[in-house]
Amino acid sequence: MDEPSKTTNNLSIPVAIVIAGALIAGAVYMGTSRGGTADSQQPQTAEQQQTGNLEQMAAITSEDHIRGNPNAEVTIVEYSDYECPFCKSFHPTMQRIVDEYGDKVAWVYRHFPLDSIHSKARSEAVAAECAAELGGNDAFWKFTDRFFELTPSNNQTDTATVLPQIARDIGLNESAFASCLTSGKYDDHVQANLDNAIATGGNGTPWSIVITASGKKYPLSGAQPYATVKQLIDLALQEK
Amino acid sequence: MSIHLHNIKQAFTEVFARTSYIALASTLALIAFVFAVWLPNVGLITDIFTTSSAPLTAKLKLTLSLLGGIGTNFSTLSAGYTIATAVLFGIIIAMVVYLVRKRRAQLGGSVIGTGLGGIGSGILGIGCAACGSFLLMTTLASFGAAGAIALLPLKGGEFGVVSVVLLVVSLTLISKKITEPLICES
Repeated sequence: MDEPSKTTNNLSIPVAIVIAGALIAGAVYMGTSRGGTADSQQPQTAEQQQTGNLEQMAAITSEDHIRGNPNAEVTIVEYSDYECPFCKSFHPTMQRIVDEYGDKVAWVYRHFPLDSIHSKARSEAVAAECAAELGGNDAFWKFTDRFFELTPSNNQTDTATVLPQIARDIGLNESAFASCLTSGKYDDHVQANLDNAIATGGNGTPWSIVITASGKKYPLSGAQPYATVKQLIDLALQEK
Repeated sequence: MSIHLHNIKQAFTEVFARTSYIALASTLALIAFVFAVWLPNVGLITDIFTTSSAPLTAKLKLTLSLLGGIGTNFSTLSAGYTIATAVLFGIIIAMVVYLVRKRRAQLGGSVIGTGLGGIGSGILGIGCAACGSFLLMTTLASFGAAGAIALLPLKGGEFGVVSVVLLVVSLTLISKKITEPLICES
């Protein structure tokens, strides 16, 4: 009489294990698929969603902001959000990497504002581009360094105060800077950076791609510790 | 409340008196923890072991160093619930194995339901809650609802907290099952 009930309960454990396994497999699949998106509010084509991979990384051009030797053996392209606390904590790690590796490593900074959780990040990315326009590549990096020093992240930045303050600190023409901020001239550039971050598989910030001398690309997700970034660069340097 | 705590304490004393169950719980907790910390960089780990020509030691060093991400790539909240989820996962599975092997007991649907709910929710909560929890965002985006994350006060960390709560409920239920007297039901 007990058999049907016993059979059902005997099956419950394997069924539970199968479901748990499916959950984990789903997690791995979704975590490793490089076609995810960080923000559905961003324009994005179905093609991007399906074919996103590291090879879709936009070529590094004069529009990019490079710190270090542009002809370095290893290049790190970072897609970052000015309001992300992990980007803020990752910034000194990258500064240390570039300082310690000298001419061997170049750091390229691209924008990846996560609008759905950091509504101020996009305008701050535009401000960084305005700094670059008015003061060149050095001004871009001075702006970025100072911004991460001064601001609390998590969308708590008082942009009306902080942006003019940084412009003043790094010696930019304040009125030209203010005019640039509202001009909209860098909206497409920031959007192109964001689209490229998603196309390469980025779905959170900071999202980095490490490129070796031979052109091989490695993805690095998140604000990993200095030791990890160093290990990855050492590994990349060994691949000529 | 005190009855539940008493049951948990008694069940722990019974199950973890055997070192094999301590070992099982520890191993599973470690696996769950490593899985959670490595998950955002499974692509990198796969790439370096399949395509890199670097020495094996360099690959292993890099892979191990990624575990340090728990200190830099997780907020205090997300690190807390990631560790708690991993530990509870190990303990609950060890207790389920004990219950099934030693007592030939039947698990109720509530134990399985809350346990699986906890694991599922914990998986969704993995990642960087402040910067677009990669898994949660991907999941929501596939339903066209990534913007919904902005409405959550913990920006997705809720899933991790819910996970811990569900696993604690599961632990309570299974502890009750273990401490129930063996009787012949009519």
